[in-house]
Amino acid sequence: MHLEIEQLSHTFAGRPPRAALAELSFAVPSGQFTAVIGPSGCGKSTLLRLAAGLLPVQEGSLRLGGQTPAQAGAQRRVAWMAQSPALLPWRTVRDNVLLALRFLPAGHAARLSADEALARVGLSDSANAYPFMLSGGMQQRLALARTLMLDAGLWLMDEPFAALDELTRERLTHELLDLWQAQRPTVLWVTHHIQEALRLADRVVVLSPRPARLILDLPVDLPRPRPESSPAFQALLSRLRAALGLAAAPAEEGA
Amino acid sequence: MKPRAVWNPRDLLSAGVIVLTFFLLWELGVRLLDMPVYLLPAPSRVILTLFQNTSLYAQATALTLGEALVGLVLGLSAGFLLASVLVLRPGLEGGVMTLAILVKSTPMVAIAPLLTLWMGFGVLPKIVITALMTFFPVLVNILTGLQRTDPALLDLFRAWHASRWETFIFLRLPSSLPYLFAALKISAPLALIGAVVAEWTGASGGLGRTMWLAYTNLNLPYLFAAIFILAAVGMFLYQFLAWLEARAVFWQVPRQD
Ligand SMILES: Nc1ncnc2c1ncn2[C@@H]1O[C@H](COP(=O)(O)OP(=O)(O)OP(=O)(O)O)[C@@H](O)[C@H]1O
Ligand SMILES: [Mg+2]
Repeated sequence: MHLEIEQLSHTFAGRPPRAALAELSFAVPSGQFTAVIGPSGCGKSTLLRLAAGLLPVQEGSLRLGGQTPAQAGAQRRVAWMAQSPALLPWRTVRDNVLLALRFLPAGHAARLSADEALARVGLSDSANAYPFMLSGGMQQRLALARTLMLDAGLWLMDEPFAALDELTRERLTHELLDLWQAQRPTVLWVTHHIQEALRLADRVVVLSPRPARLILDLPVDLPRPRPESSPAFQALLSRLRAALGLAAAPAEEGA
Repeated sequence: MKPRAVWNPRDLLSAGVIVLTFFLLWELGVRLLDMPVYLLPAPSRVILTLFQNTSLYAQATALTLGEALVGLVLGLSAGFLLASVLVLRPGLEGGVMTLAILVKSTPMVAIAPLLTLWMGFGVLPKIVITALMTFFPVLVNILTGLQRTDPALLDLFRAWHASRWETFIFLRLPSSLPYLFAALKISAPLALIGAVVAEWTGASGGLGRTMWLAYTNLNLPYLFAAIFILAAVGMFLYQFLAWLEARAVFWQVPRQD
């Protein structure tokens, strides 16, 4: 499902009004994995919430496969993963995953079964536990499983790896790319982790501080898997760091 | 609002010590000051009265507790249904809440004799008063609970295109459970008070009736025995609800390390 964002602006009402997006334009061809990077509070979550149909489009246009977000959402073509895990505390891990299927209209099936989805994120052992028994990273993996199992043409992911340690991140990166290559959905992947963006995405979109504008649109034409030590990876890394106003020195840590 | 483990040995011990000390001081005070029994009976005297009239008190307690519980269930059901309607049809909230506050602001002590006048000395006016008294805290608490659903979860349900009704059943209702228990813990003692006040204004039995008889005869040991029972029953109800809450709202139990 291709994505077209044209002159998209969004301002939150209030005193004073807060502008979150300013005339943002970019297009994502069908099946492309696009990482969105920008400073905290610049409007990344707002962009995803607009695409998920959770906020009304005020100005400009946002089209998902030629449809409005509401239309695409009603047909269950969009899977959105919130920045917080948003789990139902009174349901077990498995029941939390199963709940997502309950609201699918007749004729829509999930891509994975609940147990398969849990296995993909390494939560099989905790299927009968309750969310309050999970660590922050485990809760996030549960939310990830719940999103990935849906058979959607567009994945809107809001920092899904933020609470994960480097080891789990590495493992889930493989699982995720696996699923993505099998299904080829269009992905909008918000992250503040520059290396993660370069490891995963076909392209990295860098946004300015609030209100978000496009400041760099960087294609990543490297074959996966991408070793960070390769000169090509390092070259892209320094371009991203420069765009974000970070020191050019190669550093170990993320944003 | 985390439910604490109820009846744990340490709390039980400290509660026992405090209550016992209180009774001991009371007993000592009455004896040392040579307090006449028509002003303040010693607790030993009250407890003796209680044991000498067990069947009388058992009957009265059963009647009052029955009235209170039936009224509580009615008030609870009405408050719960109304809160649900207000959440599913938000436009009605202003009007209905005005009416509910009107009911709440009416002093029940003034209404009780009227109801007795209209409905007689039977259990019906007691149940009505109890239901009226418990209805409002239930309505307000459950309405708050149904409305204060985690916005992140509401977003999730919206992204899933769940209907209003599905969102109510699968999300709002379970998240309001802690508020339901808060309402019950306020309402249960109120129900007991409601039943007693209604009986006081005229009844053929019950603890309120017993108290009124004892009061008019200045038989204070009788009066205090009824008060002791009310206090004990109220405390038991509360502890029972807390116990139930810890099991029903299990996910609010603090994490153990
Ligand atoms: N409901 C709201 N009302 C008012 N302002 C809001 C609201 N939601 C977001 N904002 C503002 O819009 C801006 C963008 O918010 P958004 O959540 O999209 O940022 P973000 O890029 O996702 O940040 P982060 O990386 O910290 O998650 C912020 O400055 C925020 O204060
Ligand atoms: Mg965000």
